[in-house]
Parts: sequence; C-alpha cells; structure tokens
Amino acid sequence: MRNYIIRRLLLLILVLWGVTLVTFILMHVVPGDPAKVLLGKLSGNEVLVTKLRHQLGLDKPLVVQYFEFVKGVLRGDLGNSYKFKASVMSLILERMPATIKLTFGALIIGLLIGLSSGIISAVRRYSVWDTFSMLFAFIGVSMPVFWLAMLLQLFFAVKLGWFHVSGFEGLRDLVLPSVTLGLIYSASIARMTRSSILEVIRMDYVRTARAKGAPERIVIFRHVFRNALIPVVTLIGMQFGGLLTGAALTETVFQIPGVGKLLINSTLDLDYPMIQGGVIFVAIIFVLINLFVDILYAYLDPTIRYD
Amino acid sequence: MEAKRVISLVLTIALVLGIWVAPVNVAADQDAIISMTIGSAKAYVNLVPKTLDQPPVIINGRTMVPFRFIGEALDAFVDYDPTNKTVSYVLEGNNITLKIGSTTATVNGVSKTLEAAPVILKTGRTVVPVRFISEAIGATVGWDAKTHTVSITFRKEVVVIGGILHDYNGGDLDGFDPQSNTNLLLFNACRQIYSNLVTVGYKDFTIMPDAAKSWDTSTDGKTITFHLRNDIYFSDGTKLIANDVKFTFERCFDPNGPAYTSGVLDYYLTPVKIVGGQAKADGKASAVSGIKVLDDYTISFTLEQPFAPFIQILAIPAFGILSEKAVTKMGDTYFAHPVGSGPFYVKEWQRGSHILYAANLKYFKGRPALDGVHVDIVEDENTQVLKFKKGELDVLYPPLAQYDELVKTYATNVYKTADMSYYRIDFNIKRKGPLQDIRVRQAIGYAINREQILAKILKGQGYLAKGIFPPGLPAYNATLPGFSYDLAKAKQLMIDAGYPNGFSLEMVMRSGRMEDEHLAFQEALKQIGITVNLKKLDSATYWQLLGAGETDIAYRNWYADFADPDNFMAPLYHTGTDSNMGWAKPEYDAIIEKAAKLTRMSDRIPLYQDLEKKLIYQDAVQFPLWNTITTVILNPKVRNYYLHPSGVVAYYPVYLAH
Amino acid sequence: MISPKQNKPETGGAPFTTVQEKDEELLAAESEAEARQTSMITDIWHRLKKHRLAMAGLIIISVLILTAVFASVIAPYSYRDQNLDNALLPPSRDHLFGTDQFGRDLFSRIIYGSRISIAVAFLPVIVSVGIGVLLGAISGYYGGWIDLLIMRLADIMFAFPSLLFAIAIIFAIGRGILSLFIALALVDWAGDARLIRGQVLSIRSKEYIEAARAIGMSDRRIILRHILPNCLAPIIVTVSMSIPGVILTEAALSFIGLGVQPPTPSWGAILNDGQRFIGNAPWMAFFPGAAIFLTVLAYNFLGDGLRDAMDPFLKN
Repeated sequence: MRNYIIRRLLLLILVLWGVTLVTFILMHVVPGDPAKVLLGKLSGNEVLVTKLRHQLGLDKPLVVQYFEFVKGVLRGDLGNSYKFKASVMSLILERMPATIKLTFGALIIGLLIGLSSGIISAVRRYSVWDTFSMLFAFIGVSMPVFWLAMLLQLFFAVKLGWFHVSGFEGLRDLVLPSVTLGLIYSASIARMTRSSILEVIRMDYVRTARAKGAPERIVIFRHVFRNALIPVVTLIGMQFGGLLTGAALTETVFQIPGVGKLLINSTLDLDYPMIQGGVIFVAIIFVLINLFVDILYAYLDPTIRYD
Repeated sequence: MEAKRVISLVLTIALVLGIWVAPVNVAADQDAIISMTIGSAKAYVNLVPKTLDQPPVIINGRTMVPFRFIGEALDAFVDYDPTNKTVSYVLEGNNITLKIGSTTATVNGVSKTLEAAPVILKTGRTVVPVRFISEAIGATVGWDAKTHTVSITFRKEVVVIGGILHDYNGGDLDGFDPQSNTNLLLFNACRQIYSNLVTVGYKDFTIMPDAAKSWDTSTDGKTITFHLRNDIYFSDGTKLIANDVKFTFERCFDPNGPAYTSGVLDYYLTPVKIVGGQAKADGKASAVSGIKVLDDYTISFTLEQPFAPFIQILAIPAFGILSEKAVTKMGDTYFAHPVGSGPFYVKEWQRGSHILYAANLKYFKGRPALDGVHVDIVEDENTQVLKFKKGELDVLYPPLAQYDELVKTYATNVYKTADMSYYRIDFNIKRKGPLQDIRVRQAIGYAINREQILAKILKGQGYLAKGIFPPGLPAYNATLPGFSYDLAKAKQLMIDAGYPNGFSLEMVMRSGRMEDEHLAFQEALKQIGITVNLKKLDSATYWQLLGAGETDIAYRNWYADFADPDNFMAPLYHTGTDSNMGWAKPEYDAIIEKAAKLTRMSDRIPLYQDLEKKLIYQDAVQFPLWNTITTVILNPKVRNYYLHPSGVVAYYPVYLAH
Repeated sequence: MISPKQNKPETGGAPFTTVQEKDEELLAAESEAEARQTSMITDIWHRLKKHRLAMAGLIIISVLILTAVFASVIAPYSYRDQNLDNALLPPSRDHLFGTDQFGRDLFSRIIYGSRISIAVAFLPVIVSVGIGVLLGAISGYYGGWIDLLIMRLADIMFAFPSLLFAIAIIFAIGRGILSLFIALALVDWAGDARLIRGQVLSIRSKEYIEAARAIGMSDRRIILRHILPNCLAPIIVTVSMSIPGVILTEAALSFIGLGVQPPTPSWGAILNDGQRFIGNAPWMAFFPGAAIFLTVLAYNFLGDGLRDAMDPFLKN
C-alpha cells in the first residue's frame, strides 16, 4: 500500500507534466495572438503588437517559452494574468476560499441527502419513501443547474427574503449556492447508492450472511454498504470534476468570486497565463482527489490488488 | 482667450447651472429663488441673471411659467416624453407629471387637477400654471402686481451627511491605474478617486477648474500654463505638487508604462503632439521636453501646434493626477493600491465581489456628503434587478429585457439623459465585393427599419441619427436630411447595382453585447436578399477581426470622451485608426488636422459639418443609426445622482435623504 | 452469459488442442453466449414494457425524435422570421408557447431546436461513452503499463474542468456545430473510463474470466464477450447520466455564447435568451427549460427502467 501511494505520487508529477504540455499546446493552437488580445481595439497597430509580444516574451521560440513556463511552475510561479496584471497564484488563492466553502457545503448537502435517500429507497424498496426519493432524484438529475439556481433565488431570496439575492459577504450567502449544487449532486449520489446497494444485496456473501442468521442491520451495514460504496466513491471522485463546472455556473448566477467563475471568465477573455496557471492548479487538486479515491478503493475492496 | 476671462466665464456658467462645487454645507440648504417678469426674457435665479427662451405668459388670466427653466433652476430632473405628450419633474424624490392639454396631473402617482392645462408654445417650450407647479413641488409663489413679477421660492432640502450609496458595476475592474485602460468602468472609478488638472460638470461637459485653479494660453496658442492649488493632499498625506503632474503625463509616454499599450497614449495624447512626447515614447529621451515645472504650483505644456481640444482632454479620467511617490513605491502593484486626491479613496477592493469607496474627509473642495459608496460587481442582469427590488442596490440601469416593466413599476424614480454617442453600421469597403458599390451600401441603409428597432428593441432609448454628431455636441447639424426606411428603394438600388438576387455577408458580433440588434439587422437585410452570416465571438477575437478587416459589416458605437467634434472625427475617420476598417482618405485627414488647429469653434464647425456630409451622404462609408439615451432608476432617497453624457457618474454631489 | 463452470472442464481436458479446435470450441461457446444474449434482450424488453416510467421515457424520446425529423411540418411558423410588433406575447392559441423578443413563435423555435438538442445529445455521447468504455475496459483488463498510460491520460483529461476544456477546444478548432460536437465528445470520456475500469477490476478477478483465459480465448473476445456485458449496468447508468450532462453542457456553452450561431435555435440558446427575460416574459425561459428538463427526465426514466429490467442478469 505504501509503495503504491509513493508510486502514485510520482505519477502525479507525470500527470501534471502532461497537463502543462496539453494546456500549453492547446493555448498555442488557439488562433488568437495574446498580444493582439491584450491590445483589443488597438490590435491593428503592428508597432504595438511587436512591442508587446517582445514584452511578454512571445517572440521567443515555443520550446523556450514552454521551458520557462515549466521552470516558473516548479518555483510556484504561474505567471501574471494579462487581465488582472496580478500573479495568477495570488488571484487563485484569493478566490479559493469561496470555492472551497461552496464545494464543501455542496458536498455535505449532497452526501447527506444523497446517501440517506439512496439507502432508504434501496432498503425500503417499493415503499412510498422509495418512490418519493427516486422521483426527487430524477428531478434533481434532470434539472439544469442555473435554472435551479434562479428558482431558488427567486423563491428564497426575493419572495421570502431569507437570503441576499447574490454576492458573497458571509457564510449565509453560501447557503443557496451550496443547496443548488448540493441538490444536483445528491440526486446522482442517491441514484448510484440505490442501484449499487440493490446490486450488492443480491450477492452470494450477503445471502450467506443472511442465511447464517446475522441480524439484518449488521448485514446491511457490514456487508452491503462496504461493497456498495465502491461505485459511489468513484462517483463522488468523478463529481469533483463536474463540481467545479457546476460551481462556476452557480458562482456566476449568485455572483460568488470563486475559482470556477474566474477560470471561465479567463477563458472567455483569452487570458492565457490565467488559464494555464488555473488549469495546473485545478489539476493538482483533482489528481490528489483521484489518488485519494483510488486508496479508498483499495481499502473498501480488498480483492483489488495494487502490485 | 485670457486666463482670467476663461475662469470667470467658467465660474458664471457653473453658478448658473447650479453645478458649482462649493462645499456641500454652503450651497445646498439655501433657498432657491427664481424671479421672472411676464413677457420678459430676463430672469434671476438667486439674483444671478439668466436669459429665458420662453418668458412667462398670461393665458386666460392664468400665469403660465416655462417648465424646463424652472426645473433646471431647481436642479430637478426634467423630462419630456413625446409619445405620451407628458412633461415631468423628479425633484428631491417627488415626481410630478403633467400632460400637455390636460388639466389632470399626477403627483407621486396621485391624480391632481390643475387650474389650466399645460401648453406648448411657438418657441417649442412648455408652459405650466405657476400656482399648481409651485404647490406641487412645495414652493411658495409671490406676485408683484406692479412689476408683473412672479417669484418662486423653493426651500431646498438640507443635504444629509453620511450614509453609504449602494451602486453596482456590470463587470470586474482591472485595477485603479488610470492609464491602464480606456473603459467606462475604470473611468468611473478614477472619477471618484483622482483629481485632474481640470474637470467637467456633473451633467455636461462644461470645463471647470480642479487641481489647476486657473490656466493661461500663450499668444501663439502653443503653451498652456496651469496654476495649481496649494491645498491638495493625496490620500497618503503627501502634497500634490507640479512634479506629480509632470510625472503623471510623462508616464503616459513611457514605452514600458501602461498607457503605451492601453490606448491612453494613442487615443488621447498622441494627437495633442506635446513637444518631446514622441521622443520619449520612442525611447530616445527620458523626459518630455514640452512639460516644464516652473515652480511647485506652476506647470506648462508646450504643443507642437495649437490643439483646440487639449484642455478638454485633460478632464478625461485617464489623466487623474498620480502621486509620484506612491506610484514609484508600489511599482507593479500600484493598480491595486491607488493613491489619489479625489473625493473618495479605495478602502476595500475584492475582485469579482465589490469595491468600497470611503469619503476623503480632507478633500480640498469639502468632504463628500456620503460616507462611502459600496459598488457591487453584479454581472448578471436578472441579479441586478432582483438586488434592486430587494433594496440591496440604490441604483439600477434597467436592462432592456425588463425595461418596460421596471420603468412602469418605478415610474416616479426614473431618470434619463442623452448620451454623447453615435451608433452606426460600418462597411468594409476595402474588401473586394458588392460593398464597394455605393448603391449596395445605400440599399442596406434603406432596408433597415431603424425607428422600429429603436422603439422595440432599444425601448425608445435614443434618437434617430441623421449624421455623425449627436445633439448637444457643437457641430451637431439639425438641417441634415436624414434617412427613412424605404424597402422599395432599397430593392431598386440592389437591382441597379446588379444584385437582384442578393449575396451573403459576414458580420461579427460579441456574445452578450447588443445581440438583439444584430439579429434584427440580419432579418432586415434578408428582405433585400442579403444573407448575413453572424459570427458570434469573444471580445478579443472580435476586436482582432475588426482590426484586420475580416468582416464585411459591423454594428458599432462611439461614445465621446470629451465634447468636441474632433473626438468623433479623428478616432473614427482619420487614417490609422481601427474604427474605419482601413478606409480613410488623405484629403479628409487634412481637413481633420486643419480643424483641430483652429482655436475658435465657430471656425471649426463648418469644416466638420462639411466633412460629415461627405462621409455620410456622398461616400456612404457608414450608415448612421442612432444616438442613445441612458436610463437609471434610483432609490427614492438618492439625491443628485447625475447621469453624465459620457456615462461617468460622479459620486461627489450625491447624498441620501432621510 | 457464459457460466465458467460449464467451460472449464472441456478446455481443461484438452491442453494441447490445435488452433482450429480451439476456435471451434470458442465459436461454440460464443454462439451459445449469443443465443443467451438474444434471449436476454427479449427478456429485458418484456420487463421494460412493464416499467411504466421507462415506457413513458421511451415514448417521450420517440416523440422528440419524430418532432426533430418532421419539424418543418409540425412547426406553425418559421423559426427565424421576426415581427417586432408581436414581441414578448404570452402563450395564446396563436402562439402556444408565446413569442420571444423578436416576436418569433417560441413553439416553432423549440420544435426546430429539438434537432440541434437531440443531435448534440446523441452523437457526442455515443462517441464519448464509446471511447470511455473501450479505454476503461482495456485499462482495467490488461493492467500494467497500458492501464498506467490510459489512466494517466484519463487523469490528465480529468484534471481539466469539463466546461473549461470544452471552451478551450472550441477556441482551438474554431466555432461551429462540428467543433461543439467534438468538444462535447472529448470532455466526458475520462470519467466513464474510470468507472468502467473500476468494474472491470473486480470482474477480472472473478473465476470465469480466469477460466476463459485458460481456454485461450483472445483478450479482445474476453473483453467484448465477458467483461463488457458484465459492465452493462454501469454502462447504461453512464449513458443515461452522460446524456443529461451533455445537454446541460451544451446549454452552458450557449450561455457563454459558444453554442450554435444565431438565428439557429437550440434549447440551450433559447433558455439563455429567456433567462434575460425571466422577469417579464417567464415563458421564454420556462418552455425551453421545460423541454430540456423533460428530455433529460425521459432519458433518466428509460435508463433506470433498462437497469431494472436487466437486474436479474446481473446476479452473478
């Protein structure tokens, strides 16, 4: 197990290198010239373009630019945003807390609602609870996230006045966005939990355990959950990818200054260093979460070997 | 003109218009007394003489007074709605609307009966019964039977000191370095936190002293000397002196400075031709020889040739005076830690979230009434509306999508002002193709139903343009024939040009910006067989394609930075600008340059008007669409939030009533 | 499905069979498997028919496909002709879903929009799930350096937030419907691959796979005949979860202006247009939103029904 983790950490570096390469290539395949992008209306002025290209180091060969970029990344320097003129790292760190809080809130709400309703409906299959929670899950999965965000905004903020309509001044402002994101996630978690439990419940070892006369509670908690959680954990790990996308849209509707919104805006503004740096940063987080998920796998399903 | 005469003229204009920036506690809680004599064009506002274009009259025994004059004298927001034939005031939170020819008026939504109906007289001015209007606004009327003089005394509300105004920005600011961008967001921020050498009025482009208390121009018109006030301090406590001014302007020419690539140099200073400026920009000199510090409070600028709009250019927020010490100390991070000498300073800035401006209590013109301004960043239009409805914002620029409903709901708190803007269709004449035929360009113009698009899509927020210059700008030409929608003519022109079956065109547009109009143009041109392939792009690519001339037509606008016809001509039609897709003529360049050198406006106007005719009516290089109006809805407690034709709002005069 | 217990003795008894014999054995085993699968499909269909929600989903999807095919017949108006005097009319007999800011009939626009929305949802999902399943199965089955390579590639892909990556692709290859398809197809496969790999990892260690390997079945056949059918449930869940994801990603891309070019209608674009008018013309956001919601719901119902119908076949 320890060797496995060490190997994974080494691979992490490999993945990050791949990410820098893919991002760098994508950013340089993009037809726009960053210097012209920066100049906007003045982009027709060739003197300024040449001058700015030189200032930004864009006149150097691509390979050199790439190595300088990687060298910077190794020193923790992701470059300076064209748009904000500030260092990419500081911009991300500035916006990280909001996104972490939002994601965390959404995850907690998603897990609480998702797991409990998934478990209830699997254990009490065909009951009213099952129908209700699965219908809820269906609706949640099928709901466009900004549509839900707007409905919640209209009802809880405008009609009832319980929350600010948007903005981010305190934790209270994270309730609606977290609920929006959380509800969407709870739906897929509930679905996955239910189907996974139903699958495991029919397994031989569960039947054996039951046949041996083990109490139902112990059967469910010891034998079923542990195994049923594997795909659920995968799903949660995967959701982190979607979580940032969902967070970006939620952040946009609720005007939360988070990383997701920052990155989407940067892509639209063609803020190359911001996109490059942002992606690398997000990559680190995702890779770490994936590693964590894989380790959880091994823990949950001892039949998976890692050597 | 002599310096003293300039100053006194400015002072007079400022006083008359009520825009003089005296310390708040003096100017505001005075009574306003307007006295007018029946049939006489001479009137007095607080004993200051003023000329009326419509004197008070007696109709059927009732004294009728000019509506607009009184409103403006009292600093009310005055509006005329031609569709409903109503005139209205918004004054200190009260809305009074009268209907021409009707004896029923509404005061804050309640119907009232007038003693006589308002009428529009031959002068085009509306007159209203003095008794009613005075009572409606809470003023008292005096009548001197001997002199036939009517006097209206209005006790102005006492300016309330304190409170935070909640405004918003539709996008994120890049920072507070005035030379780093030319967008409205930055201009707005700089207007609050910096002082310029000179500044403009709150509602118009009247030039007023700011850091410079006076200035004089040499007889050859090339050297302008500014005399600075000696009581101005930056927010870091240092004194503003001539060296800071020199530093500010030299920084604009620094090839490694922000102004070099932001457009501040290119758009505004390059045409001024300050002696030695180009040498500094080319890296051949370390200083600009034409900018001389004579002593701590005197600085002179020498130009290669007289340049009429120079003083006006200095009022652009991009030329907010920087503290040399602060900029040098902060270096690359200055944009985040601005130091100015304006009425407010940046107390808190969180990107993507908000800006908090706090009152500069030591501001040299007296502290602002507000304690501060909280500017939320709210990109989403629905959220803007919801926040306003919930009272989280005091200000709302109603988005087009909800305009009708909002303006109806908040009818008593709607304010409008005409922008100094020019919207048009640009034709890429350099590109080979049908557009090189003038008849095709004319056909496109005739096929667009501007009136309908303006009314239905832009919600009537504008006037149909006849030419380039908007109303209110010197050189505006009301006698131009204009254009009208004429589909038959458009079709005939297409046949004459040899395109009876039409062709297809490329048109670039930015996502989220003026999309609806583009779609309306696309449909309009379908009528004459032209297929418009819209290319929806991000801003960056949009500007690049425009700059490179990689589109056939474009829908574009221009907002004045200062009220001079040169600000429309040079940036839009001179060779080398991005705005005409490579189209320009050397002989027209010569006219633009010649006009800018003349110092008397009356000499310049004929040149501009002649060129305007050539460009629009003879060459049809563009098709003029409209000049826009900006609408704002305010919380009833907000006072003196003046919309400016440039779109830049000053928070200094604003206060919140109880 | 093949029971490993049936196969094992036969192969175990003939360790030195020729290639031809081996093939015959395999063919026999596989035709048996095919026959079982055919009966499985009929069986699933029988079960599915009893699943009311799934049938409702199937009906909705069929109606949508028919609508997309016959859009020009069904739609009462053109999707692009403007009539500014009719702008923002609420739903009425003339305009079932009301009109938009240009006076265009929303019902007609949504009918036409089903074309884009269905195509956008189908083609990229098939490509994306196809890539994901294939790579996931190969990765899980072979393990070793192939697993490492594919999973690292997946990790790299996975490290990109999907919307950001889609935007980057669209910027890189230019706008248009094709690049929208490519972007949507390329963003999602990594997640599918991981999920399938996880399943394959546990199936791989099952005895019948060992058995199939022992009889010398080619890896390709083992993957296609034994492993993937056993992954059917998660694949179906994946597909049913990918379609809504793709529909919603398309809506998000339209939201930031990267969808289809106007005036072509797609539900995402109409919804985002409608968002602006939610305060005074809520029908503009309601109907396209409802169309997206209903479609996604239908796919979810069907996916769920399929899953339930297959339940008995997933016992071992």
